[in-house]
Amino acid sequence: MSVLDVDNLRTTLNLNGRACHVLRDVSFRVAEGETLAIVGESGCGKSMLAMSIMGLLPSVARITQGHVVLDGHALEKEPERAMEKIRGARIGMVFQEPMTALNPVFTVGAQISEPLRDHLGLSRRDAREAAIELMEKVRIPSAASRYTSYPHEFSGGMRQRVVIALAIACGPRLLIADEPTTALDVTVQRQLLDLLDHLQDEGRMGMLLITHNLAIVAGHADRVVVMYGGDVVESATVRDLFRNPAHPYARALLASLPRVDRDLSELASIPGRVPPLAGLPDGCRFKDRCPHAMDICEQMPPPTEMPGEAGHNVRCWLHVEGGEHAADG
Amino acid sequence: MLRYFGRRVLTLIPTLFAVLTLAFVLVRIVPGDPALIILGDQATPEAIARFHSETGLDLPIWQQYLGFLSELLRGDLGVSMISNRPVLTSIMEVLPYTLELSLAGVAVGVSFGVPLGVIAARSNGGWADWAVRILTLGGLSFPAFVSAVMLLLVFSVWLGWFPVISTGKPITDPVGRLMSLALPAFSLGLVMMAYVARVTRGGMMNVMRSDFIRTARAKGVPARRIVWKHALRNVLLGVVTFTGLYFSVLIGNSVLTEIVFNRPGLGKLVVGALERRDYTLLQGLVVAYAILVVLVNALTDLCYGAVDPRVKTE
Ligand SMILES: Nc1ncnc2c1ncn2[C@@H]1O[C@H](COP(=O)(O)OP(=O)(O)O)[C@@H](O)[C@H]1O
Ligand SMILES: [Mg+2]
Repeated sequence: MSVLDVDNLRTTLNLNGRACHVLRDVSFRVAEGETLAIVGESGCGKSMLAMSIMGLLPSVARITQGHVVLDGHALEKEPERAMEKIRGARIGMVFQEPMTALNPVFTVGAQISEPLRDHLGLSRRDAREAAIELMEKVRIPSAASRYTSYPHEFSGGMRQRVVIALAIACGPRLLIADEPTTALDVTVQRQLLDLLDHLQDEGRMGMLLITHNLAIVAGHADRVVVMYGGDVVESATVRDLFRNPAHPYARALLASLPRVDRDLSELASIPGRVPPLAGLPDGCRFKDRCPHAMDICEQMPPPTEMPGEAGHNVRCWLHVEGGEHAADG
Repeated sequence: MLRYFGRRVLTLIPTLFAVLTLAFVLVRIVPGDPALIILGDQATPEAIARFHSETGLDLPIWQQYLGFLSELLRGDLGVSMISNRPVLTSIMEVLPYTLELSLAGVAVGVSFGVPLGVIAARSNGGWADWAVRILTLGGLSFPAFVSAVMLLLVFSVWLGWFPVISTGKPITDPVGRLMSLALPAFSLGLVMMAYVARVTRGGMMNVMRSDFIRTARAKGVPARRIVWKHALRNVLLGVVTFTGLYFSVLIGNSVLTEIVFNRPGLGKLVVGALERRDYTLLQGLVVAYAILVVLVNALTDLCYGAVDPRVKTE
């Protein structure tokens, strides 16, 4: 059974009265113990996806269709009070910017203890002990004496360990890591990703690893979902995607990877950038940058239910039998 | 922490010295010879000369200055030129009333201003935000003495809840003393409340957008605690700074409040000393105010150190 089942999810932003779909019919699953990577250039809607799952969308955004199902339980209509009990307990989240992710006026120990007391009902003393154990688990040296340190006394990498500690404090079923190492240097990146792998194996939790770095996908994910402009354009096992990318965007991503550690800040083989939300085309959102664009791509988005090899899905008219003529019939 | 505080106090010494010098100079550049005012226009030149030598006014200015400083170091503020009472005694007599009023004014300003600011920020554009905006605009646009008189009219004269004249009640009558303090304190704290509400509202709007608030929400902290603990604790840094800066203004306003409410205090002493050109008393009062403001600054730093963990290690 899957830990997370995102089903046909649509999230809509209200931009000065205009409704724009920042996520369009997104579906994927995360199994227990599995790491699913979400890749795409920045602006593709990856963080919006994370926030839709967490129920932390900005006030201008709303889920308008589909389901977010955690352990068989739909979250998208849960009231805020109920979500407070789920966030931090059954879903943990790690963010991109460790330098600002912690409250500067509270000790790191207090910040790790807080979810333990809220969700597990531990006493102050038990929470303290558990927090120190967690700090050891995320390999913060001399954890016990660092309990009363403040965030400003920690380096970026150490702060991210604190954030990881509080995200996994209550043994969540799902960990969402939104570009957890983008702001850190390469050695620290590797250490933290290894730590996440290790923690995940231990707890059998599912992990949603959001990144724009394909090297991270190759080294740390089981399956991968490629996003473009709020659409899932391809999903496959990491192996399948790297060997046999099907969507023109996925191919471009891989083609722009002469060195394996290269970021997706620019696509060598495809000029242009992800258009801003209000400028996304109605049909296939990639069509303006696609070398194979056809008439049909202009007219309607490709269908989401795609026949393909087992577990390898592509959302592209090129891969629909007779797709060129679909508009006529 | 102690070292931090010690260092802050050391840096205050030059400031204090400068202010004391200013007090000395200010009182001496006020036009008019005190001898003429005290002895009258018809005073004989001999009487004036005697007065000058008795009060040390015939000495060269630098000798007066050295004398002033050395007496000050011994805790001696001189005697009043009019009543011959020691200035220090006159000041200490009424200082508690002024201190009590100022602190109560600050308490009103902070304890009403902070919650109002938080509520306004949370409602952001809603009716509560507008209500607070109108309230603070009112607080800021009425001259302090107008609001004082209005408070007096409504709560003392019409409703009769508080005494009209808040003459000093002894400490042995705590209820009476509090009742007579309430209106003046509210009147004095009103403007500060408006400012504090604004500072708090602005701070909350900023802090609520920050990454660490998102982290707190992501770990399931209840909304109420996010606002009143996680966010507010950060906003209080700004409120403490503002309070420290505003305190000298508040002390200035307290003179007016004391007069409107006919309260004993430094304010009344100041007005009396000005009217009668009581140089030594005036000088002593300026010194007292200066020391008060400097002390409050030190206290602000101490508070700041207590709410912001980052200052200790800097
Ligand atoms: N609060 C917001 N208001 C308006 N537009 C937003 C807001 N947040 C994000 N967006 C837009 O939504 C799109 C997706 O953003 P995001 O999810 O942050 O992308 P990613 O995480 O993949 O870089 C972008 O076009 C971005 O400009
Ligand atoms: Mg993002």
